[in-house]
Amino acid sequence: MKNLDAILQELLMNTDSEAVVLANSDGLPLAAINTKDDNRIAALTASLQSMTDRFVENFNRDKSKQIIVETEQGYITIKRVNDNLVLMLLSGENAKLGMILLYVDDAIKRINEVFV
Amino acid sequence: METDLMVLTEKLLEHIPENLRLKDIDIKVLNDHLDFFLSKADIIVKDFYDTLFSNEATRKVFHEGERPIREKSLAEWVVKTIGGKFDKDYWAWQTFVGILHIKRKVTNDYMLIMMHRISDLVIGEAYKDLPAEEAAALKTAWLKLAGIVLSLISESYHYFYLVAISQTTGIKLNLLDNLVRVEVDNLLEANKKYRLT
Repeated sequence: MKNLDAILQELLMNTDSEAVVLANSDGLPLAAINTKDDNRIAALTASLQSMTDRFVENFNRDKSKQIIVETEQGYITIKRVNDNLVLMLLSGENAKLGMILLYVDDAIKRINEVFV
Repeated sequence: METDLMVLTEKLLEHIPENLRLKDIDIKVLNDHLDFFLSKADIIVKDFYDTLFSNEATRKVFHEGERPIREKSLAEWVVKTIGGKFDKDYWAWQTFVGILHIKRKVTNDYMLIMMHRISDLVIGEAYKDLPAEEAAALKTAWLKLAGIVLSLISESYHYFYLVAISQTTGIKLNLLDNLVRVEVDNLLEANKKYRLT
């Protein structure tokens, strides 16, 4: 998982973010940087993704593409990597959402290449 | 996620150790004592609901004026059970009761303590009215039956509670299990004084 760590580390640097976790759909962490409790954050990330999917289902929409939570201290971005993986990025107040989304998409592309 | 009652019941029954399952002889003993149970139905049903209504928490489970309806249901349960075949349909019915209990907020602690009370009554009445050997056989069969019924209802309650959460939220059972796992260590730590060394 050395490649994954490198991808996530680069994502952190490029987006001026604080923490990142890559979780599987059962909520287990595959890789994480700077999260205090990897297991908890991975489980919550997967849960939020699942709940959002179920939420949008009620409106006959397809699965959600991303979840963006805006807090006073910055953004939390959750994005599906593929059917089995989900990514969570915790960004600080100075991070720019446009850059976050751009680099998250790039990271997702590279993560999927790792799992080919 | 298994929601077919028949399939789930079969899986749950597999959890029960062989020596604790009802054997043909136990079923025969129960069926042969249908008249005994019918003669005791009034005592069992009255005691059951007197006990439930004597406690504020358990009384709250019932709606105003509901007692006669529930008394009839319990009497039916006793007759259908004791005179029954204990086939797949019967056990699936017990699994279904677990779902009903969620709806009615009959939590497993209420259910377990009240089944214990019924067992106490049945066994007491058996030893009062029947020859000791016959009463002992009935006790064995009844306790096996009660054990299986308790297993099915309690596990069904727990399982379908999680299924309902899972289906509402979209969180898979594996993920729910994982969410529980990340918190359970904290709960153990907070209550570690009760841990045996």
